[in-house]
Amino acid sequence: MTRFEERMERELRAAEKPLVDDGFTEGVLRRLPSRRRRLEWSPRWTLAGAAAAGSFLTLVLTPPIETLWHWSGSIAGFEVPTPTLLVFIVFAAVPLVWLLRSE
Amino acid sequence: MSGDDAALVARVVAADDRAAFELLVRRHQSPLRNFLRRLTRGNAARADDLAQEAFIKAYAALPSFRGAAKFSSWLYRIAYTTFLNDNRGRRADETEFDEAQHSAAVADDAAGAADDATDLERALRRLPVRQQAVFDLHYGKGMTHFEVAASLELPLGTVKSDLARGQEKLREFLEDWEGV
Repeated sequence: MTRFEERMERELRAAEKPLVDDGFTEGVLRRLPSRRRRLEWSPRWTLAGAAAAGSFLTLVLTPPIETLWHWSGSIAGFEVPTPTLLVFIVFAAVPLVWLLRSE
Repeated sequence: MSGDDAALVARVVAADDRAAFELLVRRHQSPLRNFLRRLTRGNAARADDLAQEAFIKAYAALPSFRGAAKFSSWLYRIAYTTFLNDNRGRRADETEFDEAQHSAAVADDAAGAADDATDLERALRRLPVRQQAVFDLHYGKGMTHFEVAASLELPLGTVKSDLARGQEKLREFLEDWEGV
C-alpha cells in the first residue's frame, strides 16, 4: 500500500464515526411486516400431504359411499364401477384438502 | 453483544426471532448509514430513510440469504441497490451534495481532523457514485477487493480499476497532500 493509500485509509476510517442509534432501530422494527405465517410448506410437501389425505379419505369413505352407490344404483337400475368411484373421490379430495390447508 | 451474524440470521430465519434481527440492525446501522450518507452526499435524512428501507428489504429476503457472502456484504448490496433505485427517480439537483448538512456533520463528528477530512470528502464527491462506494467500502470499511465486488455486485476487475482510476483522480484533486 502506498503512502497516499495509507493516508486515505486513515482519514476515511477516522471519518467513520459511530452514529448514535437514536431511535433508528426502533423505527426499522416498527416498519417490519407482520410475522410470517408458519405454514410456509413447500409445494412438494403440500402435494404429498394432499395425496395422503385424499387416499385416507378414500379409504374411510369408500365402503359407505359404495354401499350407498350400489343401493342408489339398484334403485336407478344401473351400476357404477368401483375404480371410477375411487378416482372420483381422489380427484374430489385433493382440491378439498388444498382449500382446507390454505384457510 | 451475543452471537455472530450467522447465528443471528439463523434465529431470524428459523423462528422469526425479532430480538435477533434487532441485534443485527443495531450492529450494522452505523456503518450502513455512514455508507449511505456518503452516497447521498451528506443528506442524513435521506440516507437514514434508505438505510431503514434496506433493513426492511433484508428482513424480507433473509430466508433467501445463503450465507455464501458475509451478512454485511449482502446488506451493503441491498443498500446500494436501494440507493440506485431511489436515485433514478430523483432530479439531479435533489442529489446534489448538501453543503450545510455536511459541514455540520463534520463539525459534530470529527472536530479535530475536520480540515483534512473535508478535503478528502470534497475530493471523493467529485468521483462517480460507484467509485465513491468502492472507496468507502475498501478504505473506509476495510473490505477486501473480493468483498467489495460481492457487496456492489461488480466484477473483481471493475473494483480494481475503479480503485486505480479513482486514486489517479484523487491525487489530482488533493494536490495539497504533498509528499504523500
